[in-house]
Amino acid sequence: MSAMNQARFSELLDAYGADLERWPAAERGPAQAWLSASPESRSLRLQAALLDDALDQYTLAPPAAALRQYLLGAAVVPRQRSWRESLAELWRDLGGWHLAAPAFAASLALGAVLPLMLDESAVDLPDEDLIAAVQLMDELEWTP
Amino acid sequence: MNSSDDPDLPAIERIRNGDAGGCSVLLDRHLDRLHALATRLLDSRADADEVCQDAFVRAWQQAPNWQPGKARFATWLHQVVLNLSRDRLRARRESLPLDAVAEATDEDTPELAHGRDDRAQRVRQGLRQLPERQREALVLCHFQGLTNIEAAALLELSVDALESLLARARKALRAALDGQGLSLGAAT
Repeated sequence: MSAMNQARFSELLDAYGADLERWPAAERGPAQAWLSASPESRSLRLQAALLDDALDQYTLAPPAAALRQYLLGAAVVPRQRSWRESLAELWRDLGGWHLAAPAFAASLALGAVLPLMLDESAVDLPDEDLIAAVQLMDELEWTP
Repeated sequence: MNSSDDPDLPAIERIRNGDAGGCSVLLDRHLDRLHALATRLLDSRADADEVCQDAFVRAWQQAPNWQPGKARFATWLHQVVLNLSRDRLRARRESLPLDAVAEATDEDTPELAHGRDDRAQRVRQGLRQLPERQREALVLCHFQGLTNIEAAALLELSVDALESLLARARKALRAALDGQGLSLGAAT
C-alpha cells in the first residue's frame, strides 16, 4: 500500500474516479482520511465526479429476449445416459463384434475341449482322499 | 474473490449433470453484463449479439469440463468476450479503409437505455474515439466494475500500468467531451 499524500491521492483519482468504492481496497481508508484533512483533495474529487456522472449516463438497453432464447436453444448439455447406453458404450469400447465374435468362438471351443481333457486326467489321477480313507479302514480292520 | 468461491460453480455442476437449467442461470447472471461489455467495446449492438452468441456457445462447451480453482467462470467469460471483440475490431480495420473505420458502425448504434439521450450519445462518441486499450481499461473498470487486479489480469498489465492507462483514458475522454461542448470542469 502506498502512503497517502496529495500526489498519490491525485493518481488514484485520475485513474479510478471519485467513487472510493472503485479504488483499491487497501487505499480507501487512507484516502478517506486524506479527504477529511485536505480541502484541495475534496475540490479535485468534485471535478472527477462530473466525469463519473457523464459516464454513468451511458446506460444500455438489455439484449433482445430472442438472443437469450437462441442461446438457451444452443445449449448442449451432457445428457444423463441410461444403463443400456452405458452398456452399448462399453461394448463399443471393447471393439464390438469385430473383437467379440472371435473371442466368443474361442470360448466355445475351449468349453468343448477342456472337459474332455479334464475327464482323462481325472481317470489317471488317484483320489488322495479316497486312498487315505481306505488305508485308515485297513488299519482299523473295518468293513462296512 | 477466490476462484473456489465462484458463485457460478453450482450452475456449472448442473450443466455437467445434464441439467439445462444451469445454462439459464448463467444467462440470467451474465448475458446483460457481457452484452453491455461487447456493445461498449464495439459500439455496435449487432456485433455484440454475435460476440455473445460465440461466447456462450464456448461457455456451453467449456462448462462440463470446467476445472474450479484456476479462475472464476465470470472472469473467463470476460476474457472470451474481450478477445472476440478485439478480433472483430481487427477485422473491421483490415476490411475497411482507414477513413471509413470511424463511421463503420453508424448504421448500428447501440440502443441506449433512455433513448437518444444527448449526454449518453456524447459519452458513447467519446469512448469510440479513445484508443482501443484505453477504452478497454475504462469499460472494464468503470462499467463492468472489475477490480483493478481483475482488469489488469485481463489486459495482461501490471496494476501500475493499468492505473496509468485509466488516467490517460479519463483525461482523453474529458477532452473529447469538452470538445463536444459538454464541459466537465478542469482536468484533474
